[in-house]
Amino acid sequence: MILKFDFASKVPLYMQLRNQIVIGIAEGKLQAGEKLPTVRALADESGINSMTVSKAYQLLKQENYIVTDRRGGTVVASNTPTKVDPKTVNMLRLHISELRVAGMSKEEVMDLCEKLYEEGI
Amino acid sequence: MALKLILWASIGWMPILMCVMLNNEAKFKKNIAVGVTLPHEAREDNDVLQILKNYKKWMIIVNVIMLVLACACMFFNSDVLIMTSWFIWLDVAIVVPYIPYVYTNTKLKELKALRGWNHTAEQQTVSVNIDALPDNHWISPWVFLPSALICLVLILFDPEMSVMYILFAVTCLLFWASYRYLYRNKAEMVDENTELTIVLSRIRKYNWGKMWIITSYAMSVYAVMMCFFQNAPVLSMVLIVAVTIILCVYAFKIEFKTRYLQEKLTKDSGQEWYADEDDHWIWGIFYYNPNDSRLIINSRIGINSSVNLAKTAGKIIMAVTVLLLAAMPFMGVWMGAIGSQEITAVVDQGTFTVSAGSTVYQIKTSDIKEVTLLEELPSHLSRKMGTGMDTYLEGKFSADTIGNVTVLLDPTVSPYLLIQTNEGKYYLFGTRDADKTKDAYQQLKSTAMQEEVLPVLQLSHGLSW
Repeated sequence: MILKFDFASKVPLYMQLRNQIVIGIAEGKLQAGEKLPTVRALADESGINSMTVSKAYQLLKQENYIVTDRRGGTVVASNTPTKVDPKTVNMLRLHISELRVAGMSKEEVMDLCEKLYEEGI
Repeated sequence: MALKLILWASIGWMPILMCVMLNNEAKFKKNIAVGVTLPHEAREDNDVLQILKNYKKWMIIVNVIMLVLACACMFFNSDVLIMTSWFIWLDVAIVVPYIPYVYTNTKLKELKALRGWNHTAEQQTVSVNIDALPDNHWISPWVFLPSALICLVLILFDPEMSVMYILFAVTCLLFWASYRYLYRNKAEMVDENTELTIVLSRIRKYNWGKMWIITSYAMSVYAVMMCFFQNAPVLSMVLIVAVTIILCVYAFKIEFKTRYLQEKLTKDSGQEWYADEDDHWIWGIFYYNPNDSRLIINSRIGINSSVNLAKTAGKIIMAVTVLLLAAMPFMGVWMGAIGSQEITAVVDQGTFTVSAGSTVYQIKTSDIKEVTLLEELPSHLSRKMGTGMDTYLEGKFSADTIGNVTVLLDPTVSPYLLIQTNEGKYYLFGTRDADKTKDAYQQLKSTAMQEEVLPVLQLSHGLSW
C-alpha cells in the first residue's frame, strides 16, 4: 500500500496518515492482523516528524483501528469499530449537502456512494 | 619532476572520470535522466533525445579541454606554481563539467513542463510504499573490527609510530560509523511495483556496505605497508599506489554496477504512476526539502549520499565544502610559504631549540648524548609521518643505520646536526644557512665542554664530539 503525504494540504499530516490507514482497511489493502511500520521507520521513510506519526497511531488506536503489543508491534485490529461515530455521520451529512448544492440529484449521489463503496471492497 | 608525475597520476585522470560519470547520467535510471524525472514515453521523444545527445557532446568537449589544461600544468617548474596551478585546475575540472549538466537539466525541465509531464498536483507530495520499507539490519561493527585490530597489532612491531597506528585503527572504526550513519535507510521507490522497490533498496544498501568494508580493510593494508616497507620508500610508494588504484577501480565498479542494475531493472518503469521528487532537487544536484526532517539523503542515482540544504547543518556542510574548494588554489601558496619559512636553531639556558613557524623541537642539552655535524643526509632517509618537500623536511623519518629519526631541516642546505639523546632517540636538524647550523653546533659543543658530560667522537662522514 502506498501512502501519500501532501505537505501543501490544509489537512494536518497526522490526519492524512490516519485517513489513509482507515481507507486502506476499508479497501482491504490492510488486513486484520497485518503489521504496520514502526513509528521510526515510517518517519525515516517519509521524512515527516516521528511525533506526527506517533500522533496518528495514537488516534488510530483510540478509534480501535489498530492495536499495539510489545511483541508484534503495531497491527491492524481484528475487531475494527462496529459503532459509527456521530462525527462521521455529521461529516457525511456535510458532504452530501455539498453535493446537493453542487446540483447532484439524489440518484446521482446514491450512484456515487455505491461506486465509492464498491471500490473499497 | 617527481611532484609533477605524482600530481598527474593522482588527479590527472579526473576529467576522464567526470566524463564517464556525467555521461552515464544521460541514461535513464529510475525514470531519471540528467536529474529530471520523465515518463516512459520521454525515452522516445525526439526533443529529449536531442537534448541528451547535445549534453553528451558538450561533456566530452569540456573534459577534453580539461585534459589539455592538465597537460599545460606540466610546464611549470617551481613547486609553488606547480601546486597552485594544479589546485586551480582541480577546482575547474570539478566545477566546469557541471555547467552543461545544469544547462541540460534546466532544458529538460522546461520540456517536461511544455509536454505536461509535471505531476502538478503531486509536487509537494511524498509517497511511501509501506510494504517495501527496508529492514533495519546493519552490518555488525564486528566485521570492521579486525581491520582496526590489524592496525593496533602493528604497534608491537613499530612502537615509535603508535600514534599513527591508533589513528589508522580509529579511522577503520569511523568507516563503520560512516557506513551506518551516512546512509538514509529509505526505500528506492520508483513506481507502485513493491518487488522492484525492495530489490532496488537491497542492491543499494548491499553495495554501500561492501564499499565501506573494502575501504576499512584497505586502510589496514596501508598501515601494514607503512610498518614493514618504511625502509624501502620506492617499493612502499608503488604498493600504496597499487592499493589505491585497486580501491578506486573497485569503488567505480560498485558504483557502476549499482547504476547498471538501476537502469536495467527500471527500463519498463514510468508507464503509469511514478515517483517524482524533482522539485526537491535544485538543478538535479542539491537536495532542498524543508518538509524532510533528515539531514542525510541518498542520491537518486548510484550509491552516494547528499545533504538536505533546508537543514542548518546541511547549509553549514555545503558552505564548508564550497570554502574548501575555493581555498584549494591557496594550498600551493601555503605550501610554498611552509617550504621557505625560516628554520632557527638556538641554544639557550640549557635547552636546544629548533623551530620553523609553529613547529618547535626542544631538547635539554643535558639529555644529549652525542652530536654529529653531517655534510650529507643519511642514506635512504624516508618520511613516515610529516612534511616532505624539496626545501623542507619535518616530522618522523627513518634512515639507514640510525633507524627512526625526528627531522626538521632544509635538505638543500648542508651541514646538518645529527643528535642522539641519552634515551637513544635521534634528531636531525638543519637551518637554511650553513653558518647558522655550524654556530648551533659550536654552541652545543661549548655547552658540552662546560657541562663536561658529552663525549667527543670523530666519525668518518662528519665532525662530531
